[in-house]
Amino acid sequence: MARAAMDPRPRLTIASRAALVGVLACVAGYQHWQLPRRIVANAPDVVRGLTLDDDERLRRAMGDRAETLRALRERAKPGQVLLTSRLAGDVSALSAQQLEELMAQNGQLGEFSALLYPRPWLVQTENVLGNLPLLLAQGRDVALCVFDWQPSPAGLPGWSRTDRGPGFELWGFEPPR
Amino acid sequence: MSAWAGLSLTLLGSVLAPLLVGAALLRWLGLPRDADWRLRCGAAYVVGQLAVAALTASWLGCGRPGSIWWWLFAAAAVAAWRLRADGASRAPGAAGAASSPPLPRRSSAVDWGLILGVEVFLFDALASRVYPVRRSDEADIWAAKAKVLFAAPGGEVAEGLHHFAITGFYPSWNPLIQALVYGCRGEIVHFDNRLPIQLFGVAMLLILASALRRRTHPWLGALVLAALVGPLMRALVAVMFSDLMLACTAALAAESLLRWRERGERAWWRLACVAMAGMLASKNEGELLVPCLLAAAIASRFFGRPQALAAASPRDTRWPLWLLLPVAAVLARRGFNAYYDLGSYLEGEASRGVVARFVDGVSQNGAEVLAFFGEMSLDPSQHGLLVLLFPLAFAVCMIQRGPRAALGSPVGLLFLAWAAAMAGYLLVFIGTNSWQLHVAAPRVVTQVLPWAAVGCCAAVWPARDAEAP
Repeated sequence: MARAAMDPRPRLTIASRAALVGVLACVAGYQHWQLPRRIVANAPDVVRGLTLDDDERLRRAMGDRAETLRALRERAKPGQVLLTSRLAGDVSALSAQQLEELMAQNGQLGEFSALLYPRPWLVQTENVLGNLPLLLAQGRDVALCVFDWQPSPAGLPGWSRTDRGPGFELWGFEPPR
Repeated sequence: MSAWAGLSLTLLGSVLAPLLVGAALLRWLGLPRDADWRLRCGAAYVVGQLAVAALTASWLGCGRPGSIWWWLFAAAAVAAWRLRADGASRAPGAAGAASSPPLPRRSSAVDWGLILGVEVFLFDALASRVYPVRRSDEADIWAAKAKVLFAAPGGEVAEGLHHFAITGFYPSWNPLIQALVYGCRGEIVHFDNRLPIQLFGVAMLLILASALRRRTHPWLGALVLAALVGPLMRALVAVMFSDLMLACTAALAAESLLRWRERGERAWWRLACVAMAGMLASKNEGELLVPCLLAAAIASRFFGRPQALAAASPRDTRWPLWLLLPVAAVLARRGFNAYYDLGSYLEGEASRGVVARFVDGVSQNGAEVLAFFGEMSLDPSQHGLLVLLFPLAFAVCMIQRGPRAALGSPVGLLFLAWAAAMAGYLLVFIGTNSWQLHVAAPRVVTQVLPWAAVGCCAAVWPARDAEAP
């Protein structure tokens, strides 16, 4: 009897169980104490997700840009590739605000590309004015897409605007004779 | 199309049809009929999604002949016929319908944790339906590959995989499930394609609940389920990364291996092999976790009682053939990548050799990796301290039962697999760059969290009927 009382294992069992229950209870409580508030806060999203159709949800998520997406999809030809300029290079000279703007613009291009593929296939590239003629020479159906925050090739030899929509312009290239 | 119509089509084609096919396949695998309904539902979802992904791959490979609905209808009809024929011919407990192990009493208390977890996961999945799949890995990796497979312009899959899906070499199970949604809807969609991937979270909870009620005190099981459904898991449910798919299949593989080991019923071994194929088809880390699990099972067998092999008929030598399933999953992925000439962006670094990378990495970022993992394991909002608790719990188990008995128990198997996987992750992060560590480490650890959750609880407070010393 005395030997059993000295055996550390039952005490270890009780202590380890109590410790595990205590830690898990704290963790579970820490993670879920705001559950009711979270449910109330996110309930409108759940309702919108279940009641609004895809177009409306896309419009609400993208704001004005949803119209740009719709117009680009309507005006692009099947199988057409749209090249757009992706800004890159040395960012050390940029201010924090400029860097943030640049990242937002590149992020926007990524979202457009993800949401548009495959019609049209919006390809971001750094040297867009140099790459587009090369692709045209390979026989690809390709056009330049210039968004409203990007510089257009207006005035450069061989480039002409072929279409215009909300927030974007499409440009074609024909080698100057 | 209205939201309800779209959701109904998605549910019917990419959730219910795979569930039906999975249920029939479980019957074909010989899973005991009276096995826990939680495990049956979770396993049916995993097995069905794998089978229907193969069907979708065939449909895409054939150039999308006809509507995918005809293919699904045929698969579902065969599955329903099989279930009906099987139900008519076999009474419960008859030959072939092996009985599952007895269940611990009062084990349904685990269901309180399950209900909480499922409610949280479903709520987050529904709330995410207002955000289109447009950024981060879910768009750039998984949805991009699905779109290329489904609708590459001019059928030029190779060009899309090289220039649109930046990581086309990643496994294809997740993209194939999304391609199934696109097929069911008849177009690329940006909201509903998340749903079948998100439901792997629910399948994982079902499998975990079944494992916990068998292996630990039911209230502790409920508590650990509640702790597991933390912010990081919820963040993974809100998107459609493949980490939850891997966590789910890893949980199923481990539990099936344990039940095979305990009872010797071959159906569990078959299910474990299917689940391991799923691990390999869901994410690259599967190639680390499957060897860890198999090595742990072999190592643990040296210390424990080999019921599984003892129960096998001496003449039955076919059971290792089921390992061809995981092998096929690896070959399918590598064959796909070789066919389209796809390679990892880490291959340049890999060419330096594993040892050279590790030696360089230890001096460069070894301390940073260890510090990051240490910090992560102390963060209650990340992994519920399970990363830290499991080794401690196993140490308690070894003191109580003795090292040999502990290592030979189910807890030992889970611990060995988990420790090997964690060591593997550490080595990988030491051998790569700091950016990978910060972006991926918290996420990949969730892949083996189910092993830690079950093992931790079973080590400290085993269920009376399962593995009391």
